[in-house]
Amino acid sequence: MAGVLFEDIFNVKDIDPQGKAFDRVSRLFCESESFKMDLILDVNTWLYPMDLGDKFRLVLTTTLYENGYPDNPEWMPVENEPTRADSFEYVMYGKLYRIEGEDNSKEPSKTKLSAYVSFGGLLMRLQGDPNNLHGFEVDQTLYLLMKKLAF
Amino acid sequence: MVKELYRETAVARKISHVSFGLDGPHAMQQQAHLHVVAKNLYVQDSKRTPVQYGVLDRRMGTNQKDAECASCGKGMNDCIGHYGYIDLQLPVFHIGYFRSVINILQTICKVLRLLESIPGEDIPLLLMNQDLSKPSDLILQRIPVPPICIRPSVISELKSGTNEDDLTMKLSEIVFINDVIMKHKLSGAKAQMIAEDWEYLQLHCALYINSETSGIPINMQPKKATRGLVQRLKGKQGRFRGNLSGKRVDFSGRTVISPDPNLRIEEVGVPVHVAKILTFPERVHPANKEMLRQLVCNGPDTHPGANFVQQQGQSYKKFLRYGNRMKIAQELKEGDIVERHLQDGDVVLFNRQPSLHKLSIMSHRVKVLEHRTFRFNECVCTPYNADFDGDEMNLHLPQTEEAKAEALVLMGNKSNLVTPRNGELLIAATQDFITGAYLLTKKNVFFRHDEACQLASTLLASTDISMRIDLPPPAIMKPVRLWTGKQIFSLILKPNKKCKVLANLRTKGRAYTSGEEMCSSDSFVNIRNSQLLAGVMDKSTLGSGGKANIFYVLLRDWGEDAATTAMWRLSRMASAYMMNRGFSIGIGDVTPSHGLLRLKRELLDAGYKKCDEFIKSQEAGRLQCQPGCTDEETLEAVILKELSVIRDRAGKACLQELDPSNSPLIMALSGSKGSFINISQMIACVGQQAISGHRVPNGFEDRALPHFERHSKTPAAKGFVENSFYSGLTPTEFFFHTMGGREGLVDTAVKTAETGYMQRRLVKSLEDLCLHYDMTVRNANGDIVQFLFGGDGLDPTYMEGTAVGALAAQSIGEPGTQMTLKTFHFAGVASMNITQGVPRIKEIINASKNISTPIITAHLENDTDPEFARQVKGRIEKTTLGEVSEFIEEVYVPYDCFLLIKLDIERIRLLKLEVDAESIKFSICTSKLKIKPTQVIVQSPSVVTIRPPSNSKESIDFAMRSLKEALPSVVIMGVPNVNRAVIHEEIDKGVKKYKLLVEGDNLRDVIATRGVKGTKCSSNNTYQVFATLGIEAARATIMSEIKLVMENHGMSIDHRHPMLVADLMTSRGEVLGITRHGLAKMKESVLNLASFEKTADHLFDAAYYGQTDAITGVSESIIMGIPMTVGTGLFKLVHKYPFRRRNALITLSTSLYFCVLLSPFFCTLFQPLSNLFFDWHAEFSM
Repeated sequence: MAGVLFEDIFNVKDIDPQGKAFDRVSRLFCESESFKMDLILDVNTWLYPMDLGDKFRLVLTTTLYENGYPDNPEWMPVENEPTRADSFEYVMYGKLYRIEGEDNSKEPSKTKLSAYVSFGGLLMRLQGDPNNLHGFEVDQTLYLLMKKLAF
Repeated sequence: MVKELYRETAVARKISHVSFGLDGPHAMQQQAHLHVVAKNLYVQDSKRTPVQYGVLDRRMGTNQKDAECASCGKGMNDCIGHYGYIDLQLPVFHIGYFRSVINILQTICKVLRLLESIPGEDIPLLLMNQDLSKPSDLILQRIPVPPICIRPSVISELKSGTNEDDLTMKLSEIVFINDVIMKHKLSGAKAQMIAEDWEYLQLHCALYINSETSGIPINMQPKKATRGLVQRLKGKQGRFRGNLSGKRVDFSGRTVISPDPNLRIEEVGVPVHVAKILTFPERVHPANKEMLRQLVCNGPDTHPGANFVQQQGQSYKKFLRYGNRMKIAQELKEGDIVERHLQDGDVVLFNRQPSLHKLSIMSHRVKVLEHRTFRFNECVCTPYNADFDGDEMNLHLPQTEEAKAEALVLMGNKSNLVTPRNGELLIAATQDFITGAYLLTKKNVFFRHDEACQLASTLLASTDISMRIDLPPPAIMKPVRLWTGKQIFSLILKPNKKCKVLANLRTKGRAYTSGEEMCSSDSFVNIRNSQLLAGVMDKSTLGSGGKANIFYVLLRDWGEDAATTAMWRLSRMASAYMMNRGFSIGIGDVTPSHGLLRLKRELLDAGYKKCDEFIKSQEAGRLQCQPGCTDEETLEAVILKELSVIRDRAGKACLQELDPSNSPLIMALSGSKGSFINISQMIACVGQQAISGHRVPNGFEDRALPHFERHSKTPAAKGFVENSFYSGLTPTEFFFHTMGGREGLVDTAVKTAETGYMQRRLVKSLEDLCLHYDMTVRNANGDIVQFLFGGDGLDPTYMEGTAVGALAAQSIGEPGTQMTLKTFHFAGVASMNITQGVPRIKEIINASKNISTPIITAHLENDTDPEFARQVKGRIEKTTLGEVSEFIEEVYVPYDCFLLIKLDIERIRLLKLEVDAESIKFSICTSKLKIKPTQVIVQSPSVVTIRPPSNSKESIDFAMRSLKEALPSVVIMGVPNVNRAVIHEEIDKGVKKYKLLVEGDNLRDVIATRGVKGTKCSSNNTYQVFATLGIEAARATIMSEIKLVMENHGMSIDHRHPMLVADLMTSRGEVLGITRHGLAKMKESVLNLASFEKTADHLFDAAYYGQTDAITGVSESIIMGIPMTVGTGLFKLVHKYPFRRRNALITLSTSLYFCVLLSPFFCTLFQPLSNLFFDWHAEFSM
């Protein structure tokens, strides 16, 4: 699929380990199944409740168009075209504001890269092997699409 | 009449200087119009005609509307008044020169007694100026009678007759006595009688000049107080301070203020009523002709109207309420002047007293509004220190285009967002705006499309009414489209794509924990390209103070317009959001939970138990004393510490228990109002009430209140309030609380007076210091105070001619008002207090020789060894014989008696004292006891005997006893004037380091003490430092001490300000205080000194010495009514080039070139000028 930056299945390992600071918003600590990526993600749990141990598919993409056409910079309030979001339950829009590397020159395999994205203040940190974070650029706007997987 | 622009070249005569001197009898006569001889005031008729040759003679002017001056024939308004004179039958002393006369008579040879016969070449020897004052004129032989207009008689309505001025009465009395003397002389009365009259004449002449003359015999003292000439000049309401230095002005207004978040930062809302009265004289030119015509048609009663029209070439004004306005409007010609109403956009000066710093008067743009109050955006409250509990403020309308331009550029509140005190923002979001922004940017705030649009549309107002807003895509697109509060907040900074403002800020917030943006309390703010990506906005990122502020970033990177617009948008949006969401406080917000109550009980019980233990151990004498404290003091310290822990713990507990939606908590967290202590006082525990830093003292016998046991030291008996404001205070607790409250009130009242005077002194001495073109700071005489301002030439405002002195004075004086008066601070060791706050600032700037807590910090040659420190301490600290003796006893043996002193060798060894019996013998002999070395015998290393002096006058027994009394206080070791020394321990990089804190003044001897590292000693006594180490060291001390006090009160001040004050104080080679004594040595201007303090003394001195005042300083210029030579008055047009009017463009550019040469600043003046101003400029350069 064009425009897709990252896709994986995550397991929720922990929710709000330092106590719930905000109602409606919880911080999920997750780990991915195939790429072993660490994910910290703020989710509006009123809209989309999450529980410990939940498994979900997460896609990060630069556009919602199925055909991968670039995203329209002007946001239109009413759109009826079928989009990628149709097959997901929870979609957020935000901006990648920082990519930070833990440079480990001795063991390149252990080098970790973190991408920080703010979805209007709901933050996400995706950390792991730099190879999985190709195509991530600072100031890129991107969409986060989530769907819980049934067991 | 239109107020003329000030033009140097257009002035025909200029005051170059003012000279003071003595007027002789001849000069008095020359100035006068008549010789006053009649003692009566009025002729006995119904018309109340003044007596000819009386003190109210019409030839000296008139003060009645219907009467004309007999000398010049003018009426009351035009006649300037004329002098008269009285010839005294016998010469009398001028009371102001009385001391000078005595001084001269003591100086000159007694043979040449008469002042008249002092030869001219000797006059300079008396320090007098021969041209201006003659010694003989120090004696009065003739006194001038001032014109009537300065001593008007008021026709009384209550009783028949008139109320005469004190001067008139005094003069008529003098004439009367004069008459009597003349009659006695003629009739050949006894010399004694004439002498009596003479004395009486002398008295009245003295009272005429100074009615508060001291040393008058009781039987001759006047019955009621009168106002003499001196009394008219001196004091706050006197001529100098009340009329010459400060004047009443026209074109001003005053009313109550109220807030309006809808107004832009630079606007001020003015009531229509005010706008119709305040007028601006606008000259008609083609561009505004139509507009002014319309205004003239509207007249004085419709708002955008005009009150008067003055046609060109005519001296009178046409009032527009009457007459044919249409006709006047049609006849309006270019060059006419229309006094139009105040309109939207006009520049006005806005002020709130006390005007402690330059930001207390700023210019705003007018917005004419309904209702009756002045209104402005709450963000501007801070510089004015205004609130809306009934405060009133003043408004002034500048009357010329030139004044308008200067006001706009230099005093505009947009141009003064930051304070010159420390370069931090002063105009920034406050109170509700911070709360609103905090609530809006919290992580859990989401809006539906309609809500988001509604909130975003609050930005559409005022000049932005038709602005395009680009709502970003929603942060949550599915399952529902939701925008976050942060997305909406970002619109404040950059509402649409066309907006170029891209602000960036990354900083910690108030509640920051760890992990940067991922902080669990979301308190790491990241604003990237005007997008709020993470973090909740709070006081640190929105409010005043500090530089990690979004508005500071906007101001720095995008200019004042971007910053103020964003601030205005925030105030609109935050208040709209708050009104929609609702924010209030109720009893539920301050009700403690059961858990909290239980926790508090536990805390209290544990704390009280500990306190009881401390008290018991102190009673048993088991309490370990803190260094330099008695056991009582130690007990107080530990109890105070324990009790403050209780309140802090209770406060913390109640924060954890509170719901995040609790309103006081939100306010405390966002920093908008209130602190955690306030919350815990409301909910948990009010805490210990302190009076001047201690627990409540005993007002009754051995107890604070009669409700407690005597000598009780329990928390409750000494003012600990365990209840909260919610649970209610017990009667005793309440009383203790009021005691603390009263201290606060008294403190505030005393503080305002103290700091006000301090500010006045600071400003008076620093007012004329300004930055010159060579980057030096000089005073009005051109004496250099600093070679480079602030040591680096960085001018906080990037303008030349900046009155840096006034800025420094305000920057130090203004924070003074915010300091609590009586604060002590521990200098590392609990027992060693040092004075802080306003009293300390006063000590520093007064350059007091004896300060209340002198402390010398002495570094040691070996600073890691505590033993060494103790040794040096022993050398410095005062030790008396009594302290090292086991006993002193009288020994009577047959044929002999003596005193035996047994030294406590063990103690001497323990204290590391470097004394032995021999040195003690020496100390005793050199003490004031007058004991000869033969009387003292060292028997053994620990025993010294002293035989009493054999004196026949007193018995041996008496001598023995008095010697025994005096011996214990003989100083055997230590530096004079040092009370004690304390070893201060500090850990530096894991190593314990020791230094000595010495309480005392004697820096010289402490430096000279063996073991002290003399190069690293410092004292807080500027005078001692000056006397010991010199003027540069004193300067450094002044700077560091001012900085220290300010830091202790949590106030940051740019180091340039204390530096300038220190440089001024030390610029004459000695430390001069900012007092009238120091000022007299710093300033040369008579008028400046006279307008400060001791007005009459300075004037009499000036006359005696025949001084001249060159009118260069600020005070003098204000008194003379000419522009002062700082700021935009610093430069003058040096060369007047004959431009031709036709080439207006060339004229402008060439003369601009001149201006640029003269002042880089001046050209900024021209930027905002419209073509209206062009006219003025062309004239200026002609």
